[in-house]
Amino acid sequence: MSRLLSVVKGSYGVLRVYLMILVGLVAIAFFINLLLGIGNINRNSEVSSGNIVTIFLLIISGVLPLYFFKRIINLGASRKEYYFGTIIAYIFWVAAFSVFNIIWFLLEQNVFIEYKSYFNIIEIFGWDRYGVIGMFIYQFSTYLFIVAFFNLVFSCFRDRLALGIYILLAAAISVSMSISSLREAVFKGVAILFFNPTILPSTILTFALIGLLFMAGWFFTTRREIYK
Amino acid sequence: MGTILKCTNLAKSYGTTEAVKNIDMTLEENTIYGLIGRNGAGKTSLLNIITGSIFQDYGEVEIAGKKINRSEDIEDLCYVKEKILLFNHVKVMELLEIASAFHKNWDWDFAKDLLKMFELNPEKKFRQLSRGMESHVGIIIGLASRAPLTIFDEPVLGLDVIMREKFYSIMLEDYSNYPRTILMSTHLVNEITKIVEKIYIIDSGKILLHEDMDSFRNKSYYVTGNRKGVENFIEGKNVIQCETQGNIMIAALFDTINDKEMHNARRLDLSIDGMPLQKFFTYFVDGRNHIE
Repeated sequence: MSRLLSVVKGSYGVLRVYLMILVGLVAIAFFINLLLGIGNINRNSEVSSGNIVTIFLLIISGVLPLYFFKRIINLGASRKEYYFGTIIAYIFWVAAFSVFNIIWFLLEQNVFIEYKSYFNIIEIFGWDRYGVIGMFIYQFSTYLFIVAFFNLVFSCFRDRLALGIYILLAAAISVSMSISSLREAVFKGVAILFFNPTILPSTILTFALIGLLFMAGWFFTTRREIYK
Repeated sequence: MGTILKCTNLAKSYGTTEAVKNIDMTLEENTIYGLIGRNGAGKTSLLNIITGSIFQDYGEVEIAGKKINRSEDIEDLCYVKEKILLFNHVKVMELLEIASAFHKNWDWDFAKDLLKMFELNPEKKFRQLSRGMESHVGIIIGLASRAPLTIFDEPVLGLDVIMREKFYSIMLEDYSNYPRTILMSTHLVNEITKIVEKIYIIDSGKILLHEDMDSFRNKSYYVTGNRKGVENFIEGKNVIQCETQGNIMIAALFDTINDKEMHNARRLDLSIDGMPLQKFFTYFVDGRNHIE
């Protein structure tokens, strides 16, 4: 087994418990609500289970830097192997959830619609405007951006330099949300990145930012110390 | 013999506490070393720096001639930590499979033999293991990796005396078949006497002594006899501890005694016995702390 593949395998060993718990809980909720819909007891619209289960991507971007990092290094991986292996794992899971959400969205549109209607981010953000491939590209770039962002936030955990990033981030969010002209600019920026009708430029821009976020994450990973 | 590890002027502080103070350390290939020191002496900090787990404030580490930096892959190294933090929900066998990928000399047959020898169920999840079993996992990784530089930090914690002896004998047997450098940090000083070839003694972040075990055995003695005779005998010698009970005096020496001096000791009716490493360590470190 190659070293990078071993990191990916190790990450799966850590993540499968979270995946099983999340999928189990969401599946139970989905089937109960579907049965209520079939029995005509509750036909209220709901958030798509596919979207809810995608929360897993947030979990992995926290668990891998915080929990997995020191353990895989203890098993003999270098920081470089950990980081590149982790990026491969992120890409795998982001792609898997993008595909899953497309399938789930199509099921909701064609099968479950008989009994229930759902709020699905693919429809809300207009990611279905270029068909299945468009759905995949929009989701993949957006999810990977979010994963790369949280990976950076958790990779610089406990780093003195990161304190600056946290403060900047907190200040930027609160200031941009409290001033209406800035708020509009932020929403415009987010729209350009993630909901832009011109798919190619927005995807290229998003991937450039993803690259920057991963590079910053690598910078902090090389500075992380493992005491135990 | 070549050098596998070279540390030059290593220093590390945590706030105002100096954990490692200007340490120089050189380990030769194919040798078993013991690193001994009290709790808080700086053993784990030093090992963490050597293995790139933490970073020195200044100084350099070279492994197999390659300078270690923050993103460097250290291929020739296997480090088994004192408290082995691994994946709780992963089976022992899966952990070994993951570990095997990172060590180019990994021997699967040996790893499987070790699982049997330590009666460890490979299907058990790591969180189901006792402290002793966790140590076994670390030992299996350390030994089966056959890394040119293998570092064990307190590898026998949680093991009973039978299992500790088993580990020492397996390690020695494997070392004789596959020589490599093993550095073992421990506080069980007497137990490692029969295993290690060279020792480093560390205290308050400084290396106080490094010595061949053979040379150590030829330099560490108790001299016992009547007070006057012992006093005459130890004059000009490196005495690390002295006790008097009535007219009887016991002196702990760290110095060579030649044939002529041996003959002289017999004439003075003094008895000369070898000093166990643990006693030497206690006198040596404690004595220095009293002086400081």
